[in-house]
Amino acid sequence: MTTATSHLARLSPRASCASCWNWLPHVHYPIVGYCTLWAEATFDDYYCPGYVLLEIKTERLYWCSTCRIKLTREEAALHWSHGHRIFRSAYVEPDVKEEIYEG
Amino acid sequence: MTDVSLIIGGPQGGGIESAGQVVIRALVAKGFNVIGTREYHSNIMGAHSYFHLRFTDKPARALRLPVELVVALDAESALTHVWDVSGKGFFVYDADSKDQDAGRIASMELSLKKRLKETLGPKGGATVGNAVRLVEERGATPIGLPLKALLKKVSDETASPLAAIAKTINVMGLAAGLYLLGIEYNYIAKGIELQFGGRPKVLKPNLVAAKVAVDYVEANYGKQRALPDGPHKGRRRMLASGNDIVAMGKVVGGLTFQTFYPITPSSDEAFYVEENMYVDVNGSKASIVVLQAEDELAAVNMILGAAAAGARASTSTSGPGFSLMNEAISMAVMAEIPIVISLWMRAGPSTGIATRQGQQDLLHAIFAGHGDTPKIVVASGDHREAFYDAIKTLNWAEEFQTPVIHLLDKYLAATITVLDEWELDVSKLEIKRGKREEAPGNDYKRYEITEDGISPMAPLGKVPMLVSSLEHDEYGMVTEDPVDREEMVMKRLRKWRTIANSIPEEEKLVLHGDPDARVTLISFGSTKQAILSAMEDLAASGIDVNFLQFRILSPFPAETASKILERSEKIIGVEANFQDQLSFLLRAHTGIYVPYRVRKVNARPLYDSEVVHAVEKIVKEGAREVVVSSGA
Ligand SMILES: [Zn+2]
Repeated sequence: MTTATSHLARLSPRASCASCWNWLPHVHYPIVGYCTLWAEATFDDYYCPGYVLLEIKTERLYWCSTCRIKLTREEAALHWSHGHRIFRSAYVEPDVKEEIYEG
Repeated sequence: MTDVSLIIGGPQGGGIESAGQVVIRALVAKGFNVIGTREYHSNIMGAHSYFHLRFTDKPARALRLPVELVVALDAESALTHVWDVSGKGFFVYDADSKDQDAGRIASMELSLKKRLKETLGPKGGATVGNAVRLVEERGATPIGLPLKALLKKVSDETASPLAAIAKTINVMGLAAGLYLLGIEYNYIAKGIELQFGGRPKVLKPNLVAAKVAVDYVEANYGKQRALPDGPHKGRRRMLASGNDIVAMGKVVGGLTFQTFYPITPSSDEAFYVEENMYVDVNGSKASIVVLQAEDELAAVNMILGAAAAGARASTSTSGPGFSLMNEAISMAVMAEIPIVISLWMRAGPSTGIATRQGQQDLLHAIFAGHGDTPKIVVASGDHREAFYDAIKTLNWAEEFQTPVIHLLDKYLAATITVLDEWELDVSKLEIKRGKREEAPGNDYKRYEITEDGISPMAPLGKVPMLVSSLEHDEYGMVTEDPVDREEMVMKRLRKWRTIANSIPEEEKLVLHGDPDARVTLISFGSTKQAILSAMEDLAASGIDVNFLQFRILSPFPAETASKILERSEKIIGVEANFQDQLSFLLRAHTGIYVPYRVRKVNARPLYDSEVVHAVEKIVKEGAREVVVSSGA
């Protein structure tokens, strides 16, 4: 591996980026995302010692990558119970072109 | 002969727009004619969006369903387009998405989930895996791309940051798809270079991603059988959307002032003018003023003011914005101010489905404004017409000192086509400004009574002059006197007759095909190409139809239309609205009733295959009304 992610071990099925508090999934393609701990992008099945299990406890906004919307804590818990993938936030590329309409 | 259609779909904002742009460029580089349009959702970022293309060595006219290739970058796309792939086609999907169920896709419409459940339920549920099985049973070849594994390979092979690599999923999908269709890697790479060439950091990972995808397909599905090159290989050609081409027409047509308030699907027209606002006029530099107004009321009133002061002025909008412009249109008629409004129709009523197709504003355009307000209404059938119409509308507005509505629609706006430079010939372009009075004296009469109803126009500011929305005498002085009033109304009537007589009949309507055909299709606007394309197929199956295309809806070409339609045994109206708006106008002006109808009201483009099917149903089975419903 030659990328900057070389200090990360790959493929940990249980505790991977996909369930880590530090990780923000790509807004459109959540198989990749941005690690706020290492300040770099990773695949969702990476793992590192900095892993922190995401729990929906703190009163704050969460991101549902299934619905692609921001949610309150209570809403996030509800979506989670329906099997949706909840994260702390989403990663939006700085130059993302939002192909959305004007009105 | 090559004639291939494809769809590439994925999450909105996930690079579907640029994927379509890359595919078009690759296919043009290989020498084909291409037409492609984008379908996107009106409000949910990440909801399903797709590009639908057709490439051929004949003229690329209309879109066609089913397609020979579906590239689905996510589960929603795979499920949405399960019905769209032909029995001989390829169905490219993300192999990791097989277990995903429509029920779990939050952005998917509930009705679609239900339809999927009905179709895929018997197979065990509405999952991507079952969609793939269905497609395979119907003869298509499913190609499961392990997108995550391929993405990791791209990551290993480039030093680019993963964030940049994530954005190459679209290119992996399109590269795999194009390779399967017989487009060689070098053309795919050319398409990528043309699209991303200016951004080396983006270009590199995309080229690697395309190679990785192509290698994967070759290793797992065998070596490609390359398609023969198209007839235009090596030629320098031009790509333009409908929005672009109207803007081009305005820029070369002498526009000096454009306003807009952002609204789908019109805004890109103004953006294009803005990008090209510096123009060379006889060797000296000039600039078009482009102004984003605070709303549509301001946008239209600004061009009223600018035009009265001598600018060649236009604005662009769609149905909701046009509603707000009604009062100003009325004033433009009263004050005899030349303005052009590009009206990009979309699916209404109200905000309706803002990003989708409709032809529901014809009568709105015709009857906009209060108090006897005739105006010129021109409907363009395709890009080439739209370019010349954009120039003509500016000319007509000034020659006749009247509002002109240029009727266009979302399908044209979002459709990209390939053109040759000679098709946009401006060598004979004339900028006509009509009767102008550049040196008005103190006795200047802005509304001088003339035989043709047109008074020489001096710009505001040369001499004291009154221009208002109120009835006036020849000087513009407000009057309620019955004689003055009658004189002015009759002047406006004479002007309207001058307009009707000055625009040649052949510009008002075009009869395509065999003049002696017993069946005549009538339509206006962007349905043109689907109808022309369908006529070829109908002729091949022994149904001889011609097509009367109405280009100018106001003043209405009643006499010529009557003469043509008298010869027809069966008249079929083809429209994307339910009030049969063109048929209504035709009957009002000529008394001719249109008994047969093809209707498209699902807010998707009209496909040539639908026109064929509907005409067959009418001609062979005696149906009176056929509602055609293709499109995802
Ligand atoms: Zn959710």
